[in-house]
Amino acid sequence: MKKINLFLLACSIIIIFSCASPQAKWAPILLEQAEDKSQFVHQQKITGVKVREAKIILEEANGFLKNGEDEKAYYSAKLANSLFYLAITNQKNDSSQKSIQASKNQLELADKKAADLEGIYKTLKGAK
Amino acid sequence: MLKAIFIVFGLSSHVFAIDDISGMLANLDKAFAKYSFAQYGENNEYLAAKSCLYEARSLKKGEPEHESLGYLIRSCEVMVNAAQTNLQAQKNIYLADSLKQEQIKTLQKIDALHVKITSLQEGAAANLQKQLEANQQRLAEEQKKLAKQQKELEEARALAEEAQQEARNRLDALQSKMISVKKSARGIILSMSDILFKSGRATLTTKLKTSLAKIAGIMTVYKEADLMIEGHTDNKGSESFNQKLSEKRASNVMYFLIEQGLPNARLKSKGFGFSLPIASNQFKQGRAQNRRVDIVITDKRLAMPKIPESGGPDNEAVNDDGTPVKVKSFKADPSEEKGW
Repeated sequence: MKKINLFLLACSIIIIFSCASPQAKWAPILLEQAEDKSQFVHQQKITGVKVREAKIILEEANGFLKNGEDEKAYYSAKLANSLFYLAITNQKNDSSQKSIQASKNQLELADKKAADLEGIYKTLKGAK
Repeated sequence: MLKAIFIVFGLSSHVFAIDDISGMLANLDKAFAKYSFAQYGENNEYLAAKSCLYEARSLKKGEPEHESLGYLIRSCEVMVNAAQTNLQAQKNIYLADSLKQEQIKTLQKIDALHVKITSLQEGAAANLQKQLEANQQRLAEEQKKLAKQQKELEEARALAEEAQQEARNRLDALQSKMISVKKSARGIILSMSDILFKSGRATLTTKLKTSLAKIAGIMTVYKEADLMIEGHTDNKGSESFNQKLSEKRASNVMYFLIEQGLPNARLKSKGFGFSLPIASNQFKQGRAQNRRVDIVITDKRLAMPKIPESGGPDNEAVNDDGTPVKVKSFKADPSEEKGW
């Protein structure tokens, strides 16, 4: 999904320079992307200040679009998307830190077991 | 209210200069360069931030007072933060993967140690089993050997008893006033009265010689028996005289028996003087009993110890509590010590 979004973003940049008012064309697309991300964070139960802010700005962007203020809607949607990105990456970072801690704990247990077995092996070999 | 705060915050992001965002991106570039695993192409947030910055620069250049410039700059800032966070997350994932790899190596080491330990334990168990089997085999062989020895011994004993019985029967014929035949723990004892000797002398009388010749004849057949000739006196006279007389009488009997064909290896003689009386020396009758020559006939086979049924592996007889039995000479029931 990210790659598609990136592609769309790149396309939007091209269109910005090729059209007189690209924001007007791309505002609904950016809004849709922001809505998708909003659903994603909801499903993943990602919360926080950034998510709340993103949702407010997304609501605002929708209002701009309804009022025909396409340019404002475009920039608001862009900001909402960015905030959702940040919230998602923050969550990813937290998960990765937990994963490190879990790996460290497991490794510690494995090391202890290996040391115990090494001791048993040496004892048995000595007894032989 | 909250909405208003966010809108104000969004508008206030005008304070962020585009150059500041550029500086953050430059730092991000350096950070990415440090970690080869984090490719730019894999970090969408980074590309989005870069694209956003480009757009913001263009907008500022074209419309420096654009009302949404603040929103765009804030978007760029947020994307830079997201890119940095993503970079940190990628570093964490890389570290977690390294730890997992290390854990896999440790688990492999544990598996190898398990195999080694199992191998050692199996080896030890096999050795013990082998040792046990060898011991059991040795024990069985020893028991078999012991049973064979016991059987042979029993057979020899039976033969000896039969021979002794036969000898007894034949010696019984010699029983008279002058020669008594009795069985004791030591074997058969032929006790000869001193009437058969000349008084105070050791010379054998003809009567005694006749009896001794008969004894020699019986003993020639009864080959397993050894003869001990013992001379005894009463307490009349000096000790040295009696000692010498008893020794002389015993040795004369022995030499006569040798002359009769008995091998001297089977014969021994000893004088005891008056040290071993069998009756009181106070009276004439007792003193007559003490003046004697005893021939003690001992069968070597009957002197051998009995082997218990459950002999140990070291061919050692054991008591009920498992302690070894001290081997003693075969001793007949003392109650049997009586004349016949």
